Amino acid sequence: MSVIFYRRFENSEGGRLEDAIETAISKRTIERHRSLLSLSTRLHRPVFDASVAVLCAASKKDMDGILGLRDVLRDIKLILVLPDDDPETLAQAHTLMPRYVAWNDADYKNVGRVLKRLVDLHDNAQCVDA
Amino acid sequence: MARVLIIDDNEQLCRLLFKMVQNEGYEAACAYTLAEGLKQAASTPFDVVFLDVMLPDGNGLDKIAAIHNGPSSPEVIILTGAGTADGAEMAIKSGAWNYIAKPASLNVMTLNLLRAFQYREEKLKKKPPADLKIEGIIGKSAAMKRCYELLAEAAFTDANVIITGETGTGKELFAKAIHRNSRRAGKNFVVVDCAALQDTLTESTLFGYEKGAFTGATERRDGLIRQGNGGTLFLDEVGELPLAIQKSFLRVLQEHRYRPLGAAKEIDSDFRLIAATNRDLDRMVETGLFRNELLFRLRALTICLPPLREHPEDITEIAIYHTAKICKRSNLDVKQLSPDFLDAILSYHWPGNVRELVNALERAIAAALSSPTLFSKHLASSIRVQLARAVVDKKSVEEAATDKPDQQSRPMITLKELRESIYEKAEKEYLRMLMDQTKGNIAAACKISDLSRARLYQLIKKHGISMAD
Repeated sequence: MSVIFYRRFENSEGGRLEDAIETAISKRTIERHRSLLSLSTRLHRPVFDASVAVLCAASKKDMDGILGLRDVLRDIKLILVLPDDDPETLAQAHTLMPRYVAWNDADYKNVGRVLKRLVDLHDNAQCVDA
Repeated sequence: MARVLIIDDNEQLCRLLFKMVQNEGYEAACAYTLAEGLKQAASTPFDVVFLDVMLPDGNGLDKIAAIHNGPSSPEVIILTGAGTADGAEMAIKSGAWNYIAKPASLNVMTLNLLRAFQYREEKLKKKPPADLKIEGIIGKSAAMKRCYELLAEAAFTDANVIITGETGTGKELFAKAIHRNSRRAGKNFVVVDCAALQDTLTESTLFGYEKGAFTGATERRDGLIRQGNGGTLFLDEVGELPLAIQKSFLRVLQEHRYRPLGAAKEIDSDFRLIAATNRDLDRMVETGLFRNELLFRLRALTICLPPLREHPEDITEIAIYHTAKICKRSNLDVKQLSPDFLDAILSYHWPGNVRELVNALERAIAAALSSPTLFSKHLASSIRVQLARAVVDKKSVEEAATDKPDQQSRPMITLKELRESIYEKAEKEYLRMLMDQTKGNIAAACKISDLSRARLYQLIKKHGISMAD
């Protein structure tokens, strides 16, 4: 299973996040997307082999773009990194039913921990199904 | 006038119940066999059905779903002399309104009938399930209809709800649907993934924290409990919630007040709680892994989602819905499902339930590429292998069954005759082994078997065992 990761080119904070993700799931393939178009194209393809995603919204505008993909994000376990903690931003985030929410200025170690746990849980579920 | 159907082969009991029902002011009807009862339940809108378990032509428990599928989906009260704990559990899980072990007094039966009527009256007053917004939840089987009724009940109240069911049965979809149909729909639906969070992270994520409350707390943050204020807090995989957090959360649930980490003051949060689990929380309570008080609080209303193998009649509709959805998402023309594809998905047991079926469809659509139709060949090999094995196993069982006399048509013998026949077979087999082991040496056989020479000869003759055996 691979993990979908989205952060825009210009989001420099995302570099630390990417490091945390790489450390947490070093043996997994990370599908990196640097634009909403690239992310959208990917999500319109089958996602059975990538059922966890980390999406980092650099700004409110970026968040709006992610919200526009709501329909194709329903079957994916999401970790969201938000640009701010405004109640409005949080309310928007919860419509995507994320499994974990962090913020752009956070220590991303926890994102890595939760991501690893979600990936492990996915693997266990696959074993049960098989 | 409300109608009651009594299905019981005990004519005396039927007459007694018939009279009791009429005395209470309802219309009554009797059926003495399951077939007759099912026929009446399918043609007449009954409100309550008294159903015996051991009927001459079948087991009543197997037909609860069929009765629910009738025109009025009546409440079913199981009435049986063969009362077992497993039977009672099966009855309740199958959606029976109650289970009465005979002999029961007429008062008990009357009380159950009146309560069933009261329950039904209140149920029918509530929001009809047809009005529910249940996007993404597919199925019209009796098992799913019962879940929709409970969903409507949950949406109507503000009580805590626990949703149970195997993995992949759609617990999260039901939780979201309860929220969307409740008075809290305009506020946040906040997911707490208890399985994905670990001890310390669960606490800070749930309760929130002040700046500097712990290393790494660089900013003040509201926790998920606060974010759920006015809305719904969904504790997914609640069985994974650490014991220490269960204690703190129990207090939040009782008082809707709590103190974020590092905060001086308590804050309020008016949230409605929905929890979900695929674990046996009663067992976890017994083993000390889950707090009894918390389970008690969670259980104001329970929705038990059935595994897909218990409502296979929904598989085709689920497959059609999700095939269309996946094709649309992938910008493909909607693929047709061939009869052999449908046969395959209807034959498979889907241990991972609806989620596994949807994943299988997604793989099949990817495998089919531009082909406009899905064939069983497009299913993952792991599924096709299991189906092929099941066909071979079934054939072997059928072949073995044809070698044996028909159990149904064989006349019953007395218990004494059964015992004697088993004894005879065992005795003959013993003597064969004895003579085989001693190579026909009578002295050695007498010594091993502790039989006299005369008795041994007598038995050898009786069973026609050759000394050369």
